[in-house]
Amino acid sequence: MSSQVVLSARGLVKKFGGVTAVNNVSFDVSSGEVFCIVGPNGAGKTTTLRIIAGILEPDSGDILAFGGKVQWGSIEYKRLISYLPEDAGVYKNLTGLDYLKFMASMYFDDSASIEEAVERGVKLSGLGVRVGDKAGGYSKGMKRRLLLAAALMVNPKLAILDEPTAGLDVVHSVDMRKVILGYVKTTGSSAIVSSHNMLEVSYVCDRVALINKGVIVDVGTPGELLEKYKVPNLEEAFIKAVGGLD
Amino acid sequence: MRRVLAMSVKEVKSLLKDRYVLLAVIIAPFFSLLIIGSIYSIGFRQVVEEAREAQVSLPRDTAIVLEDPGDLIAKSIALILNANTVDSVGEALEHYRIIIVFHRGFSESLENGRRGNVSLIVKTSKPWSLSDTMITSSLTTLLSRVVETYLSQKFNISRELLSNPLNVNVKPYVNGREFSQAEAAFLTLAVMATVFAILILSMVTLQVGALSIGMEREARTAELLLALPASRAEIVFGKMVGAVTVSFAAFISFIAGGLVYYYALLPVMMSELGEGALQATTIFQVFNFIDIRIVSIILLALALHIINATLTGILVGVLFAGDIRGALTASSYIGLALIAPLIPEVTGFSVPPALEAIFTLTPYYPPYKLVESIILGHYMKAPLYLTIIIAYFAILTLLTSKLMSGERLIYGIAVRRLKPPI
Repeated sequence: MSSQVVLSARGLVKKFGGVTAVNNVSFDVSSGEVFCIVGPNGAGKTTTLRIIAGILEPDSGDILAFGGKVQWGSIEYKRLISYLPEDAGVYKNLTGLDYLKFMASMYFDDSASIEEAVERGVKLSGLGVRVGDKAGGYSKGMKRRLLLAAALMVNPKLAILDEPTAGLDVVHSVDMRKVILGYVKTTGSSAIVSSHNMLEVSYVCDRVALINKGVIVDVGTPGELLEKYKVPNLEEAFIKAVGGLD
Repeated sequence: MRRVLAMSVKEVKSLLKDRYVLLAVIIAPFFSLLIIGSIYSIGFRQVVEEAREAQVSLPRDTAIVLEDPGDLIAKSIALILNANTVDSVGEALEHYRIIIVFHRGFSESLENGRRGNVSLIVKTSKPWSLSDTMITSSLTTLLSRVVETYLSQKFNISRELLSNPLNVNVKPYVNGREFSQAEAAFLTLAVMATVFAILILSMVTLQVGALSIGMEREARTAELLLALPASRAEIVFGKMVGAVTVSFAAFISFIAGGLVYYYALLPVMMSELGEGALQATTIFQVFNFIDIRIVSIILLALALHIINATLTGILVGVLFAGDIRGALTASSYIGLALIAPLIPEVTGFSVPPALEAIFTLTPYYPPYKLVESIILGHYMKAPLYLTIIIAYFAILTLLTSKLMSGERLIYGIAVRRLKPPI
């Protein structure tokens, strides 16, 4: 693992009315690293990722990335990242290819870069000739693969992937994990992945942040966490870290 | 710029391939003028038929002017009509709203087998009005019927002349200016087209704008949109350009429907009324007078209207549209509220007193007022209306960009799956 930090979250807080969804969350992500945020439903994973992706403005806290403090809404910052939301759909009336072209056009200014990105996207999507079909007719796995391809084809320095395999069958899940790992290894870029699937976490993640009720309770490599809590798997490590089941 | 373009291309493709949008944008506008025009034609026919059956008499504020006081037939007709006779048009205009002028040589023309020349001057606040059109058509029919009856009793006149004995020239009189019938015809159609275009396109464009957000929410793509490396203003602007392009398709469909009505349906519906009544139907004379300046300002006003209404629709979508049906619901209700004041303003139809207060208080719609100011020659007011339209656009763009936050699009209260009012 490289020691160069590409992103630092510092004291992020986000409240919705009287509910604190994210409470003083801090972590670092290094280059070439898959950093995972793990926790149960409603723990604050998605809100944290939405803040990192520039969709939600934090009530307080800072993001330092790529050598500077990120001004909220910065387009330069967003050009260096990409985001795959947890339950995102597709534009049902666009073809897969239309969608990839649209996404590439939002990231690049010159036609050559756009074409290259689309070419990468088509390969990453694995849709073959069906990339020319309307996305509304795709299976859930195909849609998810298309969205992942769009997120990675723009060569982000940091890919933010919220529950990338949620709702997918075993075959598609394994496929998605391979694509994510392959991307990070070949480009040296980083990824933040949220998940509540501990098996997936142990396969994919270099380091893991355990989050519960908006608070990060521990951070470490899967091995470090297993050793620290002296448990055979990350599920049990999580339970111990949060002080047992409610 | 490339991002705005990419966004707008995506928008056009997404919208135009959606069946709701196709229904709202292509089908509905095409049939709108066919339906509105048919209703107008039926109403018009009823007015003329009532006049034929002598169910109407001259309005109280009608005066008759005989250019030749010694003209026997004209004098007799004036007596039969039992209206006040005034010496000159100038004097009549001071005291009466409707003036029937029997021109010099009226008797001589009829006795020689030619139509008698009559002018129908209507004092009005505007040279266009559906209600005034109804009045002039009714009066024309009434005059023709009275003259026809009189002639058939007194003279041996050809059947052809009897069926259509008058040459009636309808002249709206507005603020000291007399309009020719052809000019009034052009203005009537121009204003009616403007108003109906505004009314119909308001609904369509609001829906298109709202749908552009409702579709994002329904497809759960709003988050993807907000994460893109583009400013909120670029997203709003890109969406607006795409939605406006789609709205212009609605405009083309609207015009196509109007042409089908004008050239195919209207002549068939009016054919039974006889030439005299048709002559007074100013709509048939529209192409005898075309003012390019007014046509240009109408197109400009409609383009500005389409842009602002679409942008309003996007704001409605951001605030309320939880999904496609929610977008249709919210935009329909807001559209109805926005366009209601235009209906009595233009048609001259009376409204219930309770509504009248709302209409009086509601400021008139700037794109319509822009067209009106040019037609009425109030050129100094045109820049004011243009400024209002542009200011509205700027404020709306800023407001929509500001309100299109992640919190609002993801967690905001939204209308979902309610039945649209229309």
